[in-house]
Amino acid sequence: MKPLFDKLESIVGPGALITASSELLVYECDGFTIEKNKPDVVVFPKTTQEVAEIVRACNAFGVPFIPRGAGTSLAGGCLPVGGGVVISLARMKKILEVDYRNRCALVEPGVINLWLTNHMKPHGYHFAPDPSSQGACTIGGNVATNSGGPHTLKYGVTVNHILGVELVLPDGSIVRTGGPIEDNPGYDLTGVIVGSEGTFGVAVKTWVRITRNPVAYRTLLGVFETVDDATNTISEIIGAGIIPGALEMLDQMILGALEEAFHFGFPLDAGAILIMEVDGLKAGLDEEAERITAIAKKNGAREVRQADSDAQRTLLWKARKQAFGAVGRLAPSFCTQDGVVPRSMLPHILREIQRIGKKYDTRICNVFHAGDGNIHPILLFDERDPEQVKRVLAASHEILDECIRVGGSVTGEHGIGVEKIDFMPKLFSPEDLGMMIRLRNAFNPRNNCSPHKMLPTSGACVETTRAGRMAAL
Amino acid sequence: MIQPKNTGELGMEVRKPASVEEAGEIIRRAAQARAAIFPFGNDSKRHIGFTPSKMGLRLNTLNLNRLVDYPARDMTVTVQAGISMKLLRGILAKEGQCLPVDDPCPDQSTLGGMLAVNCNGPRRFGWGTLRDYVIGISVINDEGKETKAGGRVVKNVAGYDFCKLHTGALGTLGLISQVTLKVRPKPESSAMAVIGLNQKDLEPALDLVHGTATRPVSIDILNQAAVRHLKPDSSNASKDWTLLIGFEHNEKAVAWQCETLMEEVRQGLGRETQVIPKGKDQAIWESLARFQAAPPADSQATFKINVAPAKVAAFATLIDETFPLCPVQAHAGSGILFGHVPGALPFAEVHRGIQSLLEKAKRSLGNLTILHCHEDWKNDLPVWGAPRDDLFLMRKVKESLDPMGLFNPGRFVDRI
Ligand SMILES: Cc1cc2nc3c(=O)[nH]c(=O)nc-3n(C[C@H](O)[C@H](O)[C@H](O)COP(=O)(O)OP(=O)(O)OC[C@H]3O[C@@H](n4cnc5c(N)ncnc54)[C@H](O)[C@@H]3O)c2cc1C
Repeated sequence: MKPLFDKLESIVGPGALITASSELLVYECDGFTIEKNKPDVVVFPKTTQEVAEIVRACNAFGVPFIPRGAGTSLAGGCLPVGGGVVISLARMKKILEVDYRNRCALVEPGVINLWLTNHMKPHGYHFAPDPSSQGACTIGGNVATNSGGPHTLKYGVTVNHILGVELVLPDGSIVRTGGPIEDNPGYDLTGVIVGSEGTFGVAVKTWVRITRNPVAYRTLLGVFETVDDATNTISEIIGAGIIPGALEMLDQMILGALEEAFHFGFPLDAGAILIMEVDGLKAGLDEEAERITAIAKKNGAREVRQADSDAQRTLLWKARKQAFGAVGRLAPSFCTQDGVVPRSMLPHILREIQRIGKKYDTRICNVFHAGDGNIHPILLFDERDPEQVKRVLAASHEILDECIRVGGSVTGEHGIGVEKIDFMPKLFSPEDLGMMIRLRNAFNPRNNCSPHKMLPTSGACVETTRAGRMAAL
Repeated sequence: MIQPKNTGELGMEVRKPASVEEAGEIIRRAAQARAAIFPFGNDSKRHIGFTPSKMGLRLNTLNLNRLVDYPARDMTVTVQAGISMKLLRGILAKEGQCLPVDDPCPDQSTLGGMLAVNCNGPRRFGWGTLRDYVIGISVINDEGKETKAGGRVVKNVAGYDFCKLHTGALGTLGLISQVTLKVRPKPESSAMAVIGLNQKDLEPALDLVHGTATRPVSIDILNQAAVRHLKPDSSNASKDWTLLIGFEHNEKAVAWQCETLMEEVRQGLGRETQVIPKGKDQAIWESLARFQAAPPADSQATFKINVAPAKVAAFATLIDETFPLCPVQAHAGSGILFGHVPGALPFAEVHRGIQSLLEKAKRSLGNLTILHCHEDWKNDLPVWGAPRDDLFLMRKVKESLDPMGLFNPGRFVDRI
């Protein structure tokens, strides 16, 4: 490995790579901690050119590489499965350009999601995707995973806000897809690069759409005796044709942890609460809030409170977005799951989660993007007890299987990563997966960029070389 | 409408499968025979793109038109791709829902055709484009097998997003057989604000709308020729430009926005705004959507220019100067302009004008494409504009997904 390290150091300079085993520990996993593997080296390029040279060096030495942003992935997206080189984009963190008149910005991949939004605040704009991890995660990571967030219910997920990407392809060449101008004719490559989980190359620049800030908010807190009442309310709000800015549910267990951490004044005896926010222009907003309040009350809400100041709204969202952090108070380890069901199936899936938790003797709390049908059951355990780990995995899988059974998906925003590879054949046929492999072959034919991610490699029947064979005919 | 002389696909044999299996079988056989497949619905978009490079079968999708699933409370709908947009709109309307994407050929389009061409209209500014609404897709591949991606839930990141890739691919990567769309509640109210402008007011007016306190869902401009073409009796036909700003929201919000905009325009431009209220505005939305596909009878070519929104005023003016009397429309907030080259110009002049507009668009990082022209002009006009930087990657994607060039060969960008 020494010659590779030397080569990489000659590209990025001293102080921009890590090879010491103790320091590599940080990079042995991301937010998904159940599987771990240390990379051989981590490099910190500062320019597109450096990324391209690193990738070429990896090719020359025949080692795999994997891009990494902030490492907040919850699906093992950053896990260096076979070792190799982790390319950290953490030092490419410049906001290169913000063009308010044309509503777009050009950013480097290491820019933290929230920085961009804060940067534009004085001009009344923001970057719409707002994952709960937005204080830490990078735009590059958002692009790779097609992140969502509480407000993507109304404003759309990351892919709806990405106009173009500059990508270092797995062979070290540099390509630009899309750009600040809409509708350039040709395939929407940007559209498939978003959400490709780092398997198509390294995103080194991104053109993002920027969105005008809402003028006003009405943030309501619905307090319910039971989870059922809360989920019925969600279904009915959407069914009534109202699309709130955000619609989030928190159950009793998570409320307890949050109250301890933030002292917001959450009702600890409530079965569940809903954060229901409408936003936009002032005109007509109160009427919308009233309609939502009426629906909540009709479905048994004990009380519907309205955040009466900006400070209160901010604190409420802070509590919501740091909910995962507060879970640490409940158990030494936890596994955040990510599944999706049709919205009308929310009451059903939450009852199932409860049943599955009992079956596996595992405590599960819920805090999630309810309006999208995107559930995040958090399974509590102690990773030092292998028996518990087994039960948590079994319970997770049963929940995800149920999501599939009712017509949903095993991931709404965290991605397949390494965690959910085994679910891909449950969602997709061998032919479907064959097409995905063909597409990957167009970008990453040697599969040396983020190998063993997203698509199953075992079961040779799937990994066909059909395209190559046909072309050779 | 122009009747193309070189009929391209028209001479080919037509098949109209009654099921996905039958369509798959036709495709499998065509692949074996090294023939090509040209999918079509009602033929409203055949004029788009180059003349095919290969002979083959025309595959009509109109019998693949089933409503598969419409759980209205989940606000998603799954349909076969040959369904007519008119039918689909009717189905959604019964539940008070809609797909907020404008359809330039509302009486003829099939969903599959809309998708292949990536049809959009004025509302794209506020509601996004078609790609934003496609959450699941099934495509019959080059082996005649139906393959799917995405799903039926509104949020889903399992696997690569083929929905995006097929949208706007002009059917060159497979036959779209089934689609799941995310739909929206129909807005409670709407209105269109109309403002007549002199040439010198155009740019300041667009700047003003950019900074408005309101939230328009569409910002369009029409020149005099376009106004006359769409609505010969219009009172604004005497102005150089007509600015049309659309609102869709609840009643209170629409009313507030109309008033606010009126005041902004009065203060900023010293002009009066005419507000066309809900009900009466429908015809205007429709004609703004139709414009790109409805050239005047004698028009010889329709082109589209895409540039940064801030450049729209300049390019609109440029078109006006390049082709006098050319009807011009722009979706100003999105940087999209359309022009219908007026009749009677000799080809050389059309060619010179188009090339010069293309060069200027390129210099502004934009592009120009031809939506409609005589079939035998297609060899000389920049049908798909200037090639993009990522053409090599596009080709790799095509080679990987359709290695034999089975689907719509020759018609798309770079005759892919
Ligand atoms: C507390 C918490 C809350 C979260 N809440 C949400 C949420 O609400 N919504 C949501 O969607 N996600 C959420 N996540 C998951 C995660 O934050 C997102 O997936 C985020 O987008 C990852 O960004 P990152 O910079 O940390 O990427 P990383 O974790 O570093 O990487 C994620 C994936 O992207 C790839 N990648 C990273 N950068 C690049 C690049 N430049 N080019 C190509 N590939 C790249 C990696 O290889 C990896 O596969 C949450 C995570 C945590 C820990």
